[in-house]
Amino acid sequence: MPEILSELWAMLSSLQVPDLVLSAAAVVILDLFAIAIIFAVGRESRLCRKRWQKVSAGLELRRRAEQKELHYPLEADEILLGRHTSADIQIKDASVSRYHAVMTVTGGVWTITDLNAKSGTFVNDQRIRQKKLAPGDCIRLGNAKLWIVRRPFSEEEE
Amino acid sequence: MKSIRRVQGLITAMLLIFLAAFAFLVYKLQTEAGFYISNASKISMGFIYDRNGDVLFDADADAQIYGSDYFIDIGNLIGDNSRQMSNTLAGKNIGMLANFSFMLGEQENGQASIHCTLDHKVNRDVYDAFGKKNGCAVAYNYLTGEIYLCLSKPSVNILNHYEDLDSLETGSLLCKVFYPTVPGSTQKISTTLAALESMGYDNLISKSYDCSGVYTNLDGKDIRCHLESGHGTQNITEAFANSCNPFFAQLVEDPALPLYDIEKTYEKMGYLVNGKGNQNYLDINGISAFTASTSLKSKTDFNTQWGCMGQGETLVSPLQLMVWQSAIANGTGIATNPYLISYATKVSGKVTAQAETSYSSQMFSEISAGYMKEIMLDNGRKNYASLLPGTDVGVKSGTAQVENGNKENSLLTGFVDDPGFPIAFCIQIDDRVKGEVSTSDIAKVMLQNLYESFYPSENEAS
Amino acid sequence: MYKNRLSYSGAVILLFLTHLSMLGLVFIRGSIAAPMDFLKLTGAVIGLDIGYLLITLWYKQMTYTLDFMLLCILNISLIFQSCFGGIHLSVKHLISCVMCLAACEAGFLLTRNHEWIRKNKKYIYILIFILFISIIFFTDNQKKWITIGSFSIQPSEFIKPCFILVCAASIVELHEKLKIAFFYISKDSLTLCIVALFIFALQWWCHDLGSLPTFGMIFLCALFCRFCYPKAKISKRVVAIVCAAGVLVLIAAWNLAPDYVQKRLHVDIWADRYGDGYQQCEALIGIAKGGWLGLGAGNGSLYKIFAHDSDIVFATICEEWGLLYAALTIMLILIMLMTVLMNPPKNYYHAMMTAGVTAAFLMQMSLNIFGSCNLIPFTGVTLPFISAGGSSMMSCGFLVGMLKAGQSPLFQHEVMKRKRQKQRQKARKAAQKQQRRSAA
Repeated sequence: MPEILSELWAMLSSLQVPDLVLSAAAVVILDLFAIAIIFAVGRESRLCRKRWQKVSAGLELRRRAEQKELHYPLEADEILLGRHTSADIQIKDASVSRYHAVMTVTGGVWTITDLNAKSGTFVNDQRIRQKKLAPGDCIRLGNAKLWIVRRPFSEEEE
Repeated sequence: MKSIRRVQGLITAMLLIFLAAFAFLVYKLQTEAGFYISNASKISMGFIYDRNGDVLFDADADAQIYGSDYFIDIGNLIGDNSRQMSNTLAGKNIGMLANFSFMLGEQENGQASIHCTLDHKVNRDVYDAFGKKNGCAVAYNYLTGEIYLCLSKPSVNILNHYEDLDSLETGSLLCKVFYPTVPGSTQKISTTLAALESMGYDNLISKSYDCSGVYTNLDGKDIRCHLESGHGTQNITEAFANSCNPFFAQLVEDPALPLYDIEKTYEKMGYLVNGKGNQNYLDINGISAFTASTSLKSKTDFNTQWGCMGQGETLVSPLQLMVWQSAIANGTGIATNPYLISYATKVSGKVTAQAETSYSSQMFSEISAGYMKEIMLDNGRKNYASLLPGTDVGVKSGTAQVENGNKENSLLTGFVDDPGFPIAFCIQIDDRVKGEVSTSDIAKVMLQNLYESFYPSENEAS
Repeated sequence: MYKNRLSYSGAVILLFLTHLSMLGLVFIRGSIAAPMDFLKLTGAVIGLDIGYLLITLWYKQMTYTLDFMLLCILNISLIFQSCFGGIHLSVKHLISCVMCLAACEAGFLLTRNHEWIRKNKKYIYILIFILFISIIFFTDNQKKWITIGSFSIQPSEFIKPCFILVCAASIVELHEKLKIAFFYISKDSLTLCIVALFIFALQWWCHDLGSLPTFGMIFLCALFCRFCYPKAKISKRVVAIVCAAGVLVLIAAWNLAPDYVQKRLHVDIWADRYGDGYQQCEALIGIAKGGWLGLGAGNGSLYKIFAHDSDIVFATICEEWGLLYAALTIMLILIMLMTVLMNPPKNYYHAMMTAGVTAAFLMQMSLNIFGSCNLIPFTGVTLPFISAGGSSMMSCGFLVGMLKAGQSPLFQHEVMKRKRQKQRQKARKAAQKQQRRSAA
C-alpha cells in the first residue's frame, strides 16, 4: 500500500500544475454530474410513484392469513394471482389454482379476470369471468379471501 | 411486482458481472502494463544479474564493455528482448524488466531487475570445459531448487544481434536442457524405480539373470549387450553398475513385474505413456521444459524393452533427468522444483517475485527412493569415485544412439550425497567419441567449481 | 421549466461544466494545430448542448434524466472522436450524434404505449423480414453494409431493437398452448424461437460473429424471463431440454466452428504481433502508454491503426484521456442503465424491454472492451455511443428511447382521454364556426 501511495505522489508531482488541476477537475465534475443525475432520478422516481398512485387509484389487496394481515401493493398494470411461486401474489392454498386470476388496470379501474381456475373466482360471493372492482370488494379464490381497499395515506401522496 | 422485480434482479446481476469483469480488466491492465510497453519500442530496461551480481542481460550491452563473448554461455538460456528466442528467461519475463509502471510511465532510472540463481563463473567454466564438443549441462540445489548452472552448446552470441544467423550451427537458438533427448541407459533409473515400486527391494535383489553378451527375447529378437563377452549372472545392483541390457530385458519380461506397474510409475514420474493424455511440461519461471515420453506396448515387445533401456521411442529432457535425481537424493520420492529467478525488483526498487522452494507430487515411495539412492551410490563408489574425492556421489551414465545409430550421445546424471553440498546434475555430450572429453571430465570441473563457489574460504585456506 | 415540474438546474449546470472541463483539457493538454478547429469543436459541443436542452423543454414526459445522460455521453463521445489524430471537428460524428438523439425520441414515441405496440407487433415482424431481405440481397460482399451514395448502412444494427421488441411482445402474451408431438408449445414462443434461429443463421451466414453474442444474450434474457414470467406455464422438463440444447449447441459451435472462427478463438496476440494480433497489441500498448491520466487529447498514436475509432476505440480513448476518464465514461453508461433499477417500469412489457436493452448494451460493451484488451476473442463490434458509425449510433439511440419509454409510459386510458379531448375541441371549433357563419 505505501508503495502505491509513493507512486501516486511521484505521478502527481511529475505533472504540470494546470494539467493536474484540470484533469482532476474534469474527473470530479464528471463524478458530480453522475451524482446529480442519481439525485434527479430519485426525484423522478417519486414523481412516477405519485403518478402511479393516480393510475392505480391507490388501491391495494389485503388478506388475512395465519392471524396476520398481509398487504399486497399493486405496482404493475397486470397482476397474476395464484399458487405458483412465480405468481405476483402468491397464495399458498391448495384450493387456489397455480395461475388463478389476473388483475389489470386502466384509468384507475381494476378488472379481475378468471383464468379458467377449477375452484372459480368470486367477487362479493358471485362467480365471475371478468368483473370491474370497486374499493371494498371481496375477492375469493378457492378458499382464500382478499379485500381490495384504498391504501393508507402516505406522505408521498401529499 | 414480483415479475418486474425478477427482471430487475436479472439486470442487476448483469450489471454486477460487467462491473466485476471491468474491475478485473483495470487491475490486469495496470499490472501488465510493463509487459505491454516492453513490446512497443525502445524503453529503458533493467538488468538480469547472477547470484554474485554479474550482469547476465543488458538491453544496451555492447562488446566493448563486456567483451565480445561475455554472454556466449547463457545466450540461449537468458536470451534478450528481441523476441528471436521466445522460450528464454528474458523472453518470458520481459515485463518484469521494463522500467515502467502504469502510474509513473517510463522511468529512465528505474530499478527493475531480475536476480538469478545462476553462477555465471561456474557456468562459463563448464561451458569452456566442453572444448570443441557440443552438449548441455544443468545442475541445481536439490534441497532448495536453485539452478546454479544451465548451459547448452552450441550457443548464440547475443552481442551479434542475430546478424550471423546463417552461420550458426543447428540448435544454437535452443537451450537443449529443456528439450527432449534420447536418455540412453540413464533410463534404467526409471525402470529400476518401477521395479522397486512393483516388486519391493527384497524381491528385486533376489532376482538374478544371466548375460552372455546377447539375449534373445520371447519375441525372438536379439538384445545386445555393450560387453560382447557378457557379464555372466548378476543381481540388480551389479547390472545397474554394468548397465547391462540383457539383464533389463529379462527384468521387463519377468512375470513378477507387470507392464501396468511400469506404466503407472512412469506416469507418476511425469512420462507421457503411449500418447495417452497431454504431454507434461515443467515451468521454470515461464520457460517451458519438456518432461518425458515413452511407449509401452507389451512385455515381450522389442521396442518396449528398448524403451525401458532408454532407446526406442523414449525421450526425456536433461532437466527432467536432473529433477528425478532430487527425488532420489532427498530420499523422499518427492522432487524439488527447480527455478531460475531468486527475486526481482520493481521500478520503485521494491522486491517482488521472491522465490520459494516448491515440491512435486509423490513420484515414488520413500522406500524405493532410499534403495535407489543406495544402488546409485554403489555405482558411484565403484566407477566414479574420482568425481568429488571424499564425498559420495550417486551417478548413472548413459550412451544414447541418435540419428539411426550414426552418432552416440553420452549422458551422465547424478547427485552429491552431502547435505552441505546438495547438488543434482545432468550432463550431455553430443556425438561423443572415445578419447575426447567425457561426461565425467565435465562433471569433475562442474562439481569442483561449484564446491569452490560454495566454500570459497575453505578452498583458499587449503 | 420542464413539463413534469421538476427543476434540473444542478444536473444541467454540471452537464455544461463536464463538457467545458473536457474542452479545457483539450485546450491545455491537447495539441491544437489550428485554433479555428478548436473553436468549431467548442461551438458544436455547446451548440448541441443548448439546442437539445431547449428542445427537451417541449418534450412531454415524466423523466428527463435519460435525455441529459444521453446528451452528456454523446458530447463526450464527440469530443473523443474529434481529437483522434489532431484536433478537428468530426462533422460525421456530430451528424451521428444528432441522428442518435432523433432515434432516441423516435424509440420513445414508438414504444411508450405498450398496448399499441403489442397490438402492432406484426409490423415489427415485417420490418425484421425486410431487414433480412436487405441483408441477403443488397449488402456488399462482406454482407454487412448497404452503400447508397456516400452513405453506408448496417442493417443488422437495426434488427437489434426490433428483436428486443419481438422478445418482449412474445413474452407478455398470455399463451395458448398447442400440443405438438409430446410437448406443449405456445405459438408465440415458437415464433420467437424461429425468428431467433433465423437471425442466428443469418449472422453465421454473413460471418458477422460480432453481433451473434449480442443477439444470443438478448434471447437468453428473453428465455430467462419466459421461464420466470408467471403466465409462461413452462414445465421444468422443457427448461431442462432447452438448457441442455443450449449447452450442446455452444459446445458444438465451439468445436465445429469453421477455421476463420477457430483462428480468432485461439490467437496468441503477442506471438502474432504483426499478424492477427496487431490491433490488440497496439491497443494494449496504447493503454499502457496512456496510464491513468492519458497523454492529452490528440497526442496519441493509435489513430494510425485500423478501426481506432470503432473496434479498439476504448484503447484510443485510454491513450489520450487516460484509463481513469475512460472508465468513468463507461460508468456513466452503466449509470444510465441503472436508472431502470431506481425507477422501475410499471408493466411487464417495458420491464422485458429494459432487460433486453441492458443485455444488448452490456454484451456489446463487453465484447468491445474486453475483446480489444485480449480478455476474450476479438470481434469487431462497436462500443455503444462512443464508436463512430451512424447505424450503430442510431440503434443505440433507439434503445435508450426504449429505456425512456419504460420510465415515462403512456397508458391506454390516457390516449383515449387525449382523443376524446381532441374530438371535443374539434366539435367546439366546428360549433364556433357554425355560430360565426350563422351570425354572418
